[in-house]
Amino acid sequence: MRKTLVFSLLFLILLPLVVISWFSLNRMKESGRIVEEQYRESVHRELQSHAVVISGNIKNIENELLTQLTAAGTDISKLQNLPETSPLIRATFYRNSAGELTYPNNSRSLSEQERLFLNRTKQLWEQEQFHVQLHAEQENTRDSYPSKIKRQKKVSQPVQANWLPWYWEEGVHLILWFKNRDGSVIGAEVERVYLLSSIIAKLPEKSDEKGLFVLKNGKNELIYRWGELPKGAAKEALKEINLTAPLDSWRLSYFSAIPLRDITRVEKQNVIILLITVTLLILFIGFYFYRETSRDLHEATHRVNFVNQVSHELKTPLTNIRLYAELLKEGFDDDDEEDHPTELSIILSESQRLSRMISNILTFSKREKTGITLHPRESDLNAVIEELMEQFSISLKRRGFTDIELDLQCRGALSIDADIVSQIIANCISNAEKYGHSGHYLRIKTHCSNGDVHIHVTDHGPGIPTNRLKKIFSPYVRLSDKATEGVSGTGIGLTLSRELARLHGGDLTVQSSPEETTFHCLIKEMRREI
Amino acid sequence: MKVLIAEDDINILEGLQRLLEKEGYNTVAAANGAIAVDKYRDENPDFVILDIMMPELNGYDVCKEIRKSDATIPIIFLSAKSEEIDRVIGLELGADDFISKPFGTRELMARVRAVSRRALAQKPQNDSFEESFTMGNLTVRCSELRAERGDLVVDIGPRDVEILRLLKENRGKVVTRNMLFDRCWGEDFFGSTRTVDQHISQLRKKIETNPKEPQIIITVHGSGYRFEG
Repeated sequence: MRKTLVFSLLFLILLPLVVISWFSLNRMKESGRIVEEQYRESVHRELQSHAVVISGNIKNIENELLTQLTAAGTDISKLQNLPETSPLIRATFYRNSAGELTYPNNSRSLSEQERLFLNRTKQLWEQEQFHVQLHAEQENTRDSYPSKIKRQKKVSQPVQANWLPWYWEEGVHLILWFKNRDGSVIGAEVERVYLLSSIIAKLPEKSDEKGLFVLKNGKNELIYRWGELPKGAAKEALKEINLTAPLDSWRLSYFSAIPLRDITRVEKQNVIILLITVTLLILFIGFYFYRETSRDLHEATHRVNFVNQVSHELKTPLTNIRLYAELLKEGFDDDDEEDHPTELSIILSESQRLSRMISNILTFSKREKTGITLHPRESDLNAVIEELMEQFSISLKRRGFTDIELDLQCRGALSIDADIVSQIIANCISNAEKYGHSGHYLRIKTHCSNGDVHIHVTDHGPGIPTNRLKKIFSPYVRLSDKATEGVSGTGIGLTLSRELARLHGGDLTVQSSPEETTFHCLIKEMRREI
Repeated sequence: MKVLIAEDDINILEGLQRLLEKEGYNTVAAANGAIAVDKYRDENPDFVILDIMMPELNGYDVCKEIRKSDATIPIIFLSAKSEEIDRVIGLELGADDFISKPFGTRELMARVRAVSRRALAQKPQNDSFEESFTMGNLTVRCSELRAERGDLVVDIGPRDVEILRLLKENRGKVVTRNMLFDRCWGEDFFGSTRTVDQHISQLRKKIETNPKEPQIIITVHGSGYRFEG
């Protein structure tokens, strides 16, 4: 029983724990993934915001350049002066409608800046890269700038303006150019320092995030960085994005100061704490349940042990009563039993009754605790019944039973548990003695066939009401009415007898009418114990 | 036959002694397990009756001690502990029988006689010992402690055997109560003649066809008893 209880509790505790753990681990993984995604998304938005700032800055430069270039128009002298008047512009150029670089031109005397510009852009003019770019830019950027240019009403705007990045020595250089209606092209090289300083000016000096932002050019050269990265932090960027054209070769990266696993750690910790809490709760409930059940079992065991102990203690004085009563009885001349004092017979009879009662109580408690085992042996059923009748003779006589009949048809030795059978029949006789005495009649009849032993105990008492016939075999139930009120008993005799009869392969049933009640006990011969 | 009785309850102990001595057994009493072991060694009984729950040494331990030196002496456990495990333990330790308290005296004596037969069978007998003898149509089997008449077989005690043997030896003569006392109760026994009469009455119930008209043990009023043959 205890083992069953322990296994049941273990099952009831472990099963939900396993299920909850499984769900918790899945949730932990999912939460970790979500947190990671959210963090990456947050970083991406941060990077995007900075990229938008840079892009906005480029657009501002573009608008300013366009304004200045369109104001200069095709006036070479104005174009020539722009680098000196505008911090944005490093150099300007003009190509005529025939595609010839009119300004700056080697046919004229060149300033140092003009000469350097030609040197820097040499490959552009010679390799037709500019022309190809011109054509490609015209196609690709058709939708990007025209709307903005058209809005600038004060200046006569060309159709399209485009950026042309190229790499030269210290890094990327940018040219903004546009084409006039006549096909001529006006352009300006952005002052690189101005470009970089304006971009950097728009970017934060420090980061609110615990990490490092890095802006690098297309050659992976550092342009600008802000934020901090502690020693030992990951050297791989958590997220990188490319800026938009014309700086689309530039890359803005974020390096996280906190390892990704640490970011998800809080969520995991929360799940683990929840799991531990639920586990402890389940364990507590299981322990509490086990303790309460064990206590109940303990108390039940104590009650059973107490019953056994009390019964055991009763047996010793009972042994003395019976032993000395029988010794006294044998001290009389047995030729005439009627000379025996009634008191002596009563002592003997009552001690035997007490003995049967204790036996019933012990058997009843044993069946709950350990179960009852049969010990069949070759036994004389007639001797068992005669012994019982002798035990009951005084009490039956005093109850007024004047007609006692024994019809014992089972001969020879039967393979039965004599003690069990004796207990069954004794309870039936006791029942007849208590409730059937008004009929003054008792008959015990036995007959055997094919291993079945039938024992009938009949009295002519007032009978048992039909609606109560089944109840009499329920434990602790004692039918109460005028006839039975005040009759002593424990209410377990017939319950026990039926259980014992069934244990012996048979059953105990009853038939009753207002004139006669018969208990029919069927037991089956058992294989004899070796 | 000598029987050792170990029982801590003085009333049960004395009651058992009376019961067995009435049957013709010599008894040795022990009030606890330690005394029981000592008495066993000193008195050399023919069989032993042991209570289980005793002070000093319980019945199981006494049984183990006895079995160390004698594997065959019959032992009966007598106990209020009647759980199956108690019986199993007792029988596993080498006991021959297990009687639960409270017991009927007849049940007890029947088992004691059964054990006595085994004890007698093991005991070396004198050359003059008769295995059985007949008295009319009654056959008395001494070592089996049984008397037979046709299909009827009854258990009798050692004293019963001695009484019948004495009557048979003095066939046709009166056997006085004193002779019966000396032979069957021992010279040290001081009892009333009623003791003999009661015993004869009990014996008649066992062996006579009609105890009220005895054929084997005939009363000689004022003198004693006689077996006619």
